[in-house]
This record gives sequence, structure tokens and C-alpha cells, in this order.
Amino acid sequence: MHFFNHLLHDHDLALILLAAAICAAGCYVGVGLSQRAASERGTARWHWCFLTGIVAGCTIWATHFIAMFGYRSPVPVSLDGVLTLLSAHIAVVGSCAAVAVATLSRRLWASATSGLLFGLTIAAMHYTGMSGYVFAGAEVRWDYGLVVVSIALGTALAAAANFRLSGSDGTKVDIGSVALWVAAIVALHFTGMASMTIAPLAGTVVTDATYSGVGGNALAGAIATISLMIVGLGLTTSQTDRRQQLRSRLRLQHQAMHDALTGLPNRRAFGRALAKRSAAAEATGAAFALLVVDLDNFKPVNDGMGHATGDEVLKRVAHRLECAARPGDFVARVGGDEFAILLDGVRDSSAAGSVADRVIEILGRPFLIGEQIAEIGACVGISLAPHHATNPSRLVNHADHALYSSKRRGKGRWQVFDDTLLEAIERRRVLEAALRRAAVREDFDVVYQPIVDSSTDELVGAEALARWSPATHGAVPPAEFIPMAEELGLIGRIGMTVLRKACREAMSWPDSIKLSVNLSPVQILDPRLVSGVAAVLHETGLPPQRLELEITETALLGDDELALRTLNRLVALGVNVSLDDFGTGYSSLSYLHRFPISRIKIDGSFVNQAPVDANSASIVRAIAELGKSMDLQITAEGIETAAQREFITSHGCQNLQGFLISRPLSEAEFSDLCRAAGQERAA
Amino acid sequence: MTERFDLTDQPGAPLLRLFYTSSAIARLGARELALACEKRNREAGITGVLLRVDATYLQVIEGAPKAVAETFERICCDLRHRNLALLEIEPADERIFGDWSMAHVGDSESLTIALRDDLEDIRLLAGVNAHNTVLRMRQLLDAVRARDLEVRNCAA
Repeated sequence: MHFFNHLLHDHDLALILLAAAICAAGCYVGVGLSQRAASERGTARWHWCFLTGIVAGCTIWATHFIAMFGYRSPVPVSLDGVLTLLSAHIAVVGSCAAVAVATLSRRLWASATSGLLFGLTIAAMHYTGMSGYVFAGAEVRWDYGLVVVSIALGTALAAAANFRLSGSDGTKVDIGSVALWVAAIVALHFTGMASMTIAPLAGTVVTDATYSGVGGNALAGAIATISLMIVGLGLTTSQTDRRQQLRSRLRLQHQAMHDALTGLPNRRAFGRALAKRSAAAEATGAAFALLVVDLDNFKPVNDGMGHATGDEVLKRVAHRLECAARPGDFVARVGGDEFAILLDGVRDSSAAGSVADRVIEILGRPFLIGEQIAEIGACVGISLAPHHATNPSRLVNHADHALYSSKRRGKGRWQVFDDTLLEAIERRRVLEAALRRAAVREDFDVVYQPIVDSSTDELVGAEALARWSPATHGAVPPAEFIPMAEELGLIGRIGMTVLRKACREAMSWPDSIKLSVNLSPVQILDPRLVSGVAAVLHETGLPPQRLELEITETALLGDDELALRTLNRLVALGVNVSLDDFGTGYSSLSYLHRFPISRIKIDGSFVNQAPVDANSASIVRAIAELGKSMDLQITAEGIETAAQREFITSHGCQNLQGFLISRPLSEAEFSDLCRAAGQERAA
Repeated sequence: MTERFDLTDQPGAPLLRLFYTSSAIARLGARELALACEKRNREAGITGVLLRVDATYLQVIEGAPKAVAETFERICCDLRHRNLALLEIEPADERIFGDWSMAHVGDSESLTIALRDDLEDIRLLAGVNAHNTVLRMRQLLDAVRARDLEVRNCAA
């Protein structure tokens, strides 16, 4: 109690509070700056250390000085200018050193050394400053025990502050450290003051505290003001810096959440937005729709027209999507050419579908870029929350499944998820796995559909047809598994399996029976095709003249130069090439001229309608005429009735194929048929 | 990607001319649309014509390639029409519609029967020969201008 009484009695409370306020403000700024210094590297760190040291030193000094103004001395006081200035220098230089040491490492030794330095700086400043006070007509007596206590207290508190600081992450000014700094300064000052007793010499008139010497007062006022300005400068600097850091943090945050090319929210931002809406849908049933948008045809544009054009297309796609979405909808770029839209408040598929329609419409329009025109398009998959799910990843999965199924149906489609999609996808997944296995095990059957001469009815050949019956699913129609094999890259292998099997089996038939085998467009583009066919012919011993390879027009559409080279090399082997499904595609006459084709097969769909439908009849007639004039053999497929047969025959088609002639037969059945035909001929 | 349009035969041509058709879904007249874009077109140096034949819009825009591309992108972002089909895009040395920042014909009630027939012809021709259609559109504007002059002269 004596200590505090002493304090209160000896000091002017208002000035003490002012000193405390300056001390607190200065320490707040100083701690903030020292955290900033610790976060920097290299030269910048030393600049921040310097600034911190100046602010901390001035704070210590100004606190001391103003508190001393509040000290009621029993005798007149004057200041020694040199010692007072020296004390200010000690405060600044010592603080700089202490801060610099603290930033060297986060380990204990650094904070302990720095705290020790800081504490000693405060003490040195205090006692140097005190020795600059000249008490007129009084003797100053020191209690050395208390002096030691003051130094120990200041040093311990400063060390504690710096230890705390070394553990802070620097995002906010650490208030605990500020308090410890203040405590160190205040404790040292007042303990130091308590250790000092001023004993007026005999004969001195004891008055209330008075400072004598105008020079001393002016100096004190000037230094106090400058100190305050420096603390203020430090405060301004650190605040400006903080704001800049905040701005750059916001910019970084924006960069982290947005796609640099299109400016749309990116995948991560989409994840957050979806999670937020999903949680709301789960909690309150708030509905929303998820649209995943996948561009059709983007890859060829990007590869063929250059990546700069591709980038420009993506930018415009982003803008068009924002035009197609409703105001407030969330549009994000979630992958290279994949976008997503979140539609708030959309509960049913028709509302989501109308936005999908707009998306497909707007992305289907041409992009005029420079002098080039890019045409892409889009498919959209839709899932609805909470109807389909409220779990973000399930919603994405469902929308992806819907997208997948819409893409299978063609370009420019949208599809809303439903449970049957899952079954279809599951079936496909299982079938794909089975098809891969079957391709490796060569687990396919070949059946043969007989082809007869239209005028003599004589068996002249057979078309080999692949059949696949996986144990789990029963027979899978070729229309389902052939496209699947093309997509999976298995068609080359499966095609060769069928070709080898058919050629081997054809060896047991009479030499007059020709064998037709289908080639997929994908196979035509495969550079290994010709050597594969040659190897099969060599291996089975089938004369090339007996083999006819059937291609479709689609095979000739893509890279027709490559197709032409391949077909020429096949013909050079001695095999024939025929054009299948003629009449359904582009049926361009230029194909017949350019490619080494020796036979046209008229598609069954015309044959079916031929005698009745005038249009089909004229097509059949035209193709037959064409064959005659270009010296091509004509086979009519899909003959089912006698009327059709008569019509076709009368128009000069040489060969017939169809259910009226025979259904596709197993190898054994076909061999029997060959034998019967042979006997008939012999008879 | 498309090879329908070959823009390489006149490299460095100062102008680009573009012709498209679309179908209207809003009750938006040709006049309204043409007026809406007139100021911007004048500033960007775009000239052209917009016809409306029943629910079909036929529009030609011509100008500096960059301005044409920007204008067309804006048109492509507009969902008040559907089934947009780009019928022709060609480099050009001079304008066909230099007198009109965006002429419009088609929704005036006072269309003469001859004009109506012309519009119908133009719509049918668009699907067959885009280039000739553009020329026919210019002839149509000339005819309208001559008639208006006549009307004004009669009134005087």
C-alpha cells in the first residue's frame, strides 16, 4: 500500500494517465510493426525493424518523459540536455536491436535475448534519463534493491512479451503482447521511481514541483511532440500497410475463387456455392437446380483453329452463359470446356429445361472470331435439389449421369436425371466390362447370311455377322455392342477376330462361295488394318478374291485421303471392297468414282418399301442404273417378300440377301446349305 | 468448326458483310430493333438492313471486321430470337447499305402488296442463294425509297 500511496502522492494523475495512453498506443503500434517485420524477408525486414525500433524507443522515452512531468518533485528540477538526448538514443537504438534479434528466429533463445535487450534498454533509458534530472538543493538517494527489482521486472515482462509474439501468426495485432510491453515499461518506470528518494538539503525551501530552466522545458516539449508524431507515423504506416495487405489478400482470394481466363467463379467457388445451397435445401427444403454444361466440338476448334481462338471461344461462352442464365444465377467454369449453373428456386424439370434450352440455343450459334467462324454446341445434364438429392457430390454425380446420357443421344440435348438413367448406366458399365473381357478372349460368334444370284437362285456368298452373347445378359444386338466397341477402342481387335474366324470357316466351303465381312469406319482409319487383313489371308489360306470387305459411307467422310490410301492397298491385296447401306447417307457419286469400289449394297429400308412406295422404287431403279453404267455389282439387302424380290430382280440387281432368301445361319447350318447346293448342282 | 465460309480469298479487305436469319419469339418489330441499335451502329460504322417477314428476321450487317464481329456477338447473345442461321459472311471492298445505319422494313401496316410479295420472295431466296438475297434486299430499299419520294411529291 505504501508503494501506491507513494505513487499517488508523488504524481499528477492526469499526466500519468496521458503517459499511460501514449504508452498503450505506442506499444500497440510497435507490436503490430514488429509482427509485420517478422513476416518479411531480406532488406524489407530490416526496414520494418528500423521503423519498429524507432516507434518502440520513442514510446518508452515519451512515456517516461510525460510521466516525469507528472512527478511532483519537492524541489525545483532542471534537465541536462545531453543526458536527456542520450537517453532517447539509447531507447531507439536498443529497441531496434531488440526487435531485430526477435525477428531472427521463432525459437526461445531469440525471444529471450530480445526480451533481455528490450528490458535492459528500458532500464538504461530510464536511469540515464533520471540522471539528466537535476534536483536543485536536494540529495538523491537510491534503494539499490528496488533498482535491481525494477530491472528484473522490466526484463522479465519484456521477455514474456517477445516470447508471446514469436508464437503469434501476425494476422492481428496481439493484444496480450501489447499489454506485456506496456507492463514492462510501466513496471520499470514506477519501480524505478520508488527506488529513488529526494532528500532536500537543509535550508532549501520546499515548494510544489517546479521545473526551472526554460531551455529544459522547451527541449522536453519538443522531444515529446516529436515522439508522439513518430508514434503517429508508425500507426499510419502500419494501418496503410494493413489495408494494402487486406486488399491484396482480397485480390488473392478473388484469384483463388475465379477462373483467370473467363472471370467466372472457378471449380472451388462452385463447390462452396453448391455446398451452401445443398445445406439450405437439406435444412429448409429450398429448391435449386444444377445444370452441368459440356461443350460439343470444342476440342477440334481448339486444336484446329489455335489455342488463342479456343480461349476466345471460352470467354464468349462464359458471357453467353451469363446471358442465357437468369439474373442472379450462379455460373461457373468447372473444367476445361465444362461449365455449371446453379438455378435458385427452381423446383421442377420444366423450369430447369427452359434455361437448358436457352443455353443450348445460345451456344449453338456461331462464334465469329477474327475472320474465322467456330461452331460448337452444348449438352446439358440437370439434377434437382432437394428432389434428387441434397448431398452436393450426389447432385453433381446425378447431373453428370444425365449429361452423359444426353451426349449419347446426340449434340445439343439436355436431360434431367432420373433413376432409370442409373440402371441404363449400370447396364452399360457391366456390358463394357464384359465386352473388354470378350475382346480379349475372342468370345464372339459369327453367323452367315446367304447371298444368292437373282437370276439363277444359286448360292454365291455369305455376309459374316458378328454375334455376342455374354453369359450375364443373353444376346446383345450388334447395334448396341458395335458402337460400344468403337468407343472403347476395341473394334479393331473384335473386327480382326471376326475376320479370322470367318476366313477360316470359309475355307471349308466350295471355292465359288464368296465371303463378305464388315469393316467399321474406325478400322479404316487404323494404319494396322491392311497388314492385319494380309496376315489373316496368309494364316487361313483364303484366296483374296473370295473376300469382300464392306464399308459404309461414313468411313469415307472424315479423312478421305487416308481412307483412299487404305482402300487402294486392300484392293492391291486382291480383295474386293463394297459400299454398304447405300442410299442412307450422302450417297455422293464422287465416292463411287474416287474409291476402288466394286459393289454397292442397296440398303434394306428402300428395298422394303420399293414396290409400293414410288420414291423408294425410283431410288432403287436409279441405283441399279448407276451400277450398270459404272460397271458395279449390285446387291439388294433386306428382301422379305416375293414382290420385293421380283421388283429388285427386274431392275437388274445381281445379288439378293434377306429373310426371304434365308436368315443368318450358324457355320454348321451354312456348311449344310453349301453341301445341299453342291448336290443340287451336281444332280 | 466449319469450312462453309471461305474468307481467305480477299485477305485484307476493308469490310466484312454478314447475313443471317432468325425467327422471332417476342413481338418485337423490325423498327423497334433497328432503332435500338441505330446509335451504336452509327458510332461503330455499321450499316445494314433488317427485314421482318412474318416471324422471320433477315439481317445484313456490314462494316469493319472487328465492329461486325462485336455486333454479331451481341446479336448472338440476344435470346429474343431463335434458330439463328448464319447464311453468308464475306469480305467486301464497298458497302451495299452505305446509306442506312440500319434500315428496317416489314412491320409497317402500310406495306403495299408488291412490297409484301418482295419480302416473301426475299425470304424464300435466302435459303437458296444468300448472296443474291443481299442484293435483292438493297433493291427493295431502293424501291421503298422511290415510293416514299413519290408519296412526298404527290403530297406537295
